[in-house]
Amino acid sequence: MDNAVILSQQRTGREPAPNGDWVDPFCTAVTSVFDQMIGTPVALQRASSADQLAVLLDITAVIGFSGETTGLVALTLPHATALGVAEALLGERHSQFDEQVADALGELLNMIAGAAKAHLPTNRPSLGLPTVVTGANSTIAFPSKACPTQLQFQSAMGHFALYIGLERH
Amino acid sequence: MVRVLLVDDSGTMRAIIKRSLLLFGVDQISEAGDGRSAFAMFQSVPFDFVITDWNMPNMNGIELVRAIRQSGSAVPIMMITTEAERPRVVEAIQAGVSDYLVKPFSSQDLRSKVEKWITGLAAISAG
Repeated sequence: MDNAVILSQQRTGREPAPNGDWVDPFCTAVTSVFDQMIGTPVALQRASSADQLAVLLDITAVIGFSGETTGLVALTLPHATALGVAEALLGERHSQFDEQVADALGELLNMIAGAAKAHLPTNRPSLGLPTVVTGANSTIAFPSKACPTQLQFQSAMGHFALYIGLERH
Repeated sequence: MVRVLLVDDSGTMRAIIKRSLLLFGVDQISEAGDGRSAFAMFQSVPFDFVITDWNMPNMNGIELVRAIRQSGSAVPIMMITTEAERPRVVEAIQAGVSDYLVKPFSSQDLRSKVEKWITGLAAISAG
């Protein structure tokens, strides 16, 4: 089932539709980064609107946007998925979260955000440097006018989610 | 023997690029995590090839490229960055970048770029 079919089916439900400005660029970016940098496909499982205060998984990378598009994008992963992704990028296994795993996840999100921003419906937003935090069930607050969107993915390394809390000016 | 200066604030990206360099027999690799420390290294040690990211703390990649060119060096510089928009690429070329690779890239894309420069530089140093 392709991404368009999944989104079409979800939009027939009662929940608000995700922000279409962000879904395609970020879904394409996630797919491209995993395919090219990690060599594994990912499947979009669900695209939906998210709460202004989003609950996170074990490990989360966050990057800020500024310029005509402002806000935050967060990549949040369970511990096992994060270690699998880091191993694929670093070329070596890390049995627990450490500085190198954090760097790998930050760089992964940096590439996703960079690939997506070239296809956003605004001109040249700027990216900040990524930050990585740990702690399951912690929350992230998106800008009040952002109407956050959540994309849930499945990969060979496990599931993960991307929160997009951006607003256009 | 080709000496490479590899500049990226991400140790992960440096590790990925380093793996490709090692495949082509390049083992003289110096690493820096920002433009400022990279330029200090560049001024004290001769390099044959520079690979740099764009977005970094302290001095960014474009500022590093301009500093290297203003020093009078014609060393080949490849920029590897997420900045994919045409105006950004033009800005980089105008600053003096010799080659440009957009992240994300396949291992084949990276290897072919590295091979082009490393084999060319090795031939020059051997000749």
